[in-house]
Amino acid sequence: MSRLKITMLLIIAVYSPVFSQAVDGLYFVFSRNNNTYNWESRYNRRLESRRFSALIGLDGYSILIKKPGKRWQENLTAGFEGRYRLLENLHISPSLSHSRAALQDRIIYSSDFKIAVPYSGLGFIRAEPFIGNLWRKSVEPSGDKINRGPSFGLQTDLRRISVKGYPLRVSTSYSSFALDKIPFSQFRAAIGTEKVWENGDTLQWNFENSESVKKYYSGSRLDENLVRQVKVERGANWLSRTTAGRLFVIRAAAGAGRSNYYYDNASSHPLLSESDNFSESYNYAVQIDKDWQKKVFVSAAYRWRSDKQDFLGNLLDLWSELGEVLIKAGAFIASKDSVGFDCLFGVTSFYGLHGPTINERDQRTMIMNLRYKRIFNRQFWGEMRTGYSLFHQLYINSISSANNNRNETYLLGSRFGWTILQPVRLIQDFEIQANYISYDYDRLTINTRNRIFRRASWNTGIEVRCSSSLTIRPGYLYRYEDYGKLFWVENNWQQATGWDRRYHRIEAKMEYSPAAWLKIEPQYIWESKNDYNYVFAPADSGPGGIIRQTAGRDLKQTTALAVTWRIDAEQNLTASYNRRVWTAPGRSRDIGDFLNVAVRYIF
Amino acid sequence: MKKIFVFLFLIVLAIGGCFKNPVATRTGQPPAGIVGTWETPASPEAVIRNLLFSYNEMFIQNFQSCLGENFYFSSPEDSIRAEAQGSGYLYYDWNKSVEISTAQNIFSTFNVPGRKLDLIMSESFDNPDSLGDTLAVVYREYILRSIVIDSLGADTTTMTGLATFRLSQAMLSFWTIDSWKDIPAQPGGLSWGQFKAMYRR
Repeated sequence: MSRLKITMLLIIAVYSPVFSQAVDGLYFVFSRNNNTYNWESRYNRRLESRRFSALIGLDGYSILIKKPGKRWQENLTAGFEGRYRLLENLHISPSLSHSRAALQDRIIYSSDFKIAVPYSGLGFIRAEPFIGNLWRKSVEPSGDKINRGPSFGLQTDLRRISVKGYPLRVSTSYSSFALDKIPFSQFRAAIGTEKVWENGDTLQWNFENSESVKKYYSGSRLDENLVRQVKVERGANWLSRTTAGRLFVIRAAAGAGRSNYYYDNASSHPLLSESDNFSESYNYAVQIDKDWQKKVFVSAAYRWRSDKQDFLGNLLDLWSELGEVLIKAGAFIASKDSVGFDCLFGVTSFYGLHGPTINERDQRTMIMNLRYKRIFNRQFWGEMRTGYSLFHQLYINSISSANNNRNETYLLGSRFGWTILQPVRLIQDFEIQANYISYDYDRLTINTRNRIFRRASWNTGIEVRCSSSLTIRPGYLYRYEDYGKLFWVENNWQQATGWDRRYHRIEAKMEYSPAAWLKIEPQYIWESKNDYNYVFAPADSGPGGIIRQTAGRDLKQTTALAVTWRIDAEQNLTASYNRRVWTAPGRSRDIGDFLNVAVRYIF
Repeated sequence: MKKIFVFLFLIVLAIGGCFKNPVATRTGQPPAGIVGTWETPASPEAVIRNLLFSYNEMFIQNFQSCLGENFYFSSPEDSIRAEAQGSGYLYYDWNKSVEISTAQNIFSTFNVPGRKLDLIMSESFDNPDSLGDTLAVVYREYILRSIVIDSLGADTTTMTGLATFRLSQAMLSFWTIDSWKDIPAQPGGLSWGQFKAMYRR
């Protein structure tokens, strides 16, 4: 079945004269692994003539999961949207879509039909009324359900209006869908402006309001009942960029928004998700940028944000406030040397909305990075970087404050690039990092939650360009990791390693293009991972000691082949196959394979 | 004109007192409560164990530490059914903050006398885990029981299914869950995803 389907779609994609006349482009992907099959196809066709334009779209997506128990899911959608010019300012625009969503024996069919009449002959006003019909049918083991009804609406926009040189955008829309079982309606209004000056200065603001009402059957419990939901959303945004002479560039942004949900529920025990609630948010940010002769750059920013969520009486209702500073700096010290620095620090506080709660907390963040780069000559360059990050979580209430902890990471890394010969380039990375998690109130020496995790990696990548059609990329990666408890002894941290891990990866990839339209990419990866545990071994005499034991030994070998047939810049056919053999002591040999076929064809 | 707008903006902020000190934190009370079971998430399996313990112990702090910043949850079969009933929005845009607030609701509802949550997760025989270097897919068959005890007796609801977790290991941090997909054991059966949707706010 699957082979037949692939063959048919490929024939349609590449050879069918009928479809070649009917679509702009076709995209098809098939992929499979041990347990899952995916088919995805899509094509679109745009028709244009002097008075008429139309867009036709077809989408299909199928997935088959073999385990546990076969599950077949399929979504198909077909749509058409046309636009015919009746008069200079009057169009008629019919649209039609039909979809089928199936999951095993449950299927949802849906059909939408709409006719809109855009009219722009009213001076500054453009109006677009529409009427339509919606139809939904769900097929379930318990029986079929049909939900249908008419729809109508009106959208208006103000055109070409400006106030003192500021272009104004105003739009309103109302639509109603009178379905039998799930009727809904929505209203939206927006006003805003955006202006950009020649020097890049910008001013933009807008206000928006939307309201919607719908009724539906709440089906999460056995006693299904009708629920009426009213949603009201209001928001405003403001953005500016101002040049203050030759001194600074000031960027400022602010926003405010509030959304309310109201429920009218006949049930005496409504779901928590169906209780009245609201959330609101306010924020602003100010950033000042300065550069000196394009040699030194400095940027400083402050960000503030406040969020509030109220579910009307719930103890978990919170409001939060964030204050954050970001500083960035960079400099070209000399023609071959550059340095960059960035630092971010801030605090987010969470407060109980109706009084103290156990979830009140502060989250402190600090991140710093420093980079230095030097270009020694045309063949050799190097970069050093170091970083530090801190996330400190502070619960205020005694019930939760045992979880107060600091998560700190230190990083040191380097990268060097060396063009050994003209066709041979080498990139060398080295990095070490240490991550400490320490709990503020945990100074135990047994069963402590304080931990340290360390990692170092060495990564060598080589690119050998043998000819214009052949490139070989061998590489080697080594990584060491260890992990263990941290004990607080005599006012110092001491580490007790629990395990360590060594990982090697050798990789070779080739890119070969025997012709401009063909590319072949074979690849081989060899991976080895060894795990060791540190355990206590009692001795026949004496206190015993810690020994290192092999805990696991994984070997993975992956072979891959990808072939790309490039028809032209926008059209191609790609096929790839990937096979991985995974062996480990104590478990059966695991073989995984993955196949992917993708076609992109523009007619 | 534009500079007037900028000055107005700054004046409004100053009057509104919209400023928070970016370095000052409050002083917390010394701990008086218990702490949850927590293992540093240095492997994908450790993250899943932390998730299991945080659910059974109803510790929201530990639960949220298991999730990545770009986390999303999907329950395809339940969402199709909900869509047909008009409540499909319960499954829309299910990101990290939605997941945490939903879990908070569940924990606050069940962390009272007379109510209990019991979660069991086991490896899936049909779906072996795929553990990569920095990416992993972990399959767990689960049984989740919600128990409500009142004067009439105990009312137990059992949800079973397969949870698929996709995890990643970021450069500077441990393993976290990027996505969580839920499929009920039987098509149309009660699932964890459906249970969570009831408590989404």
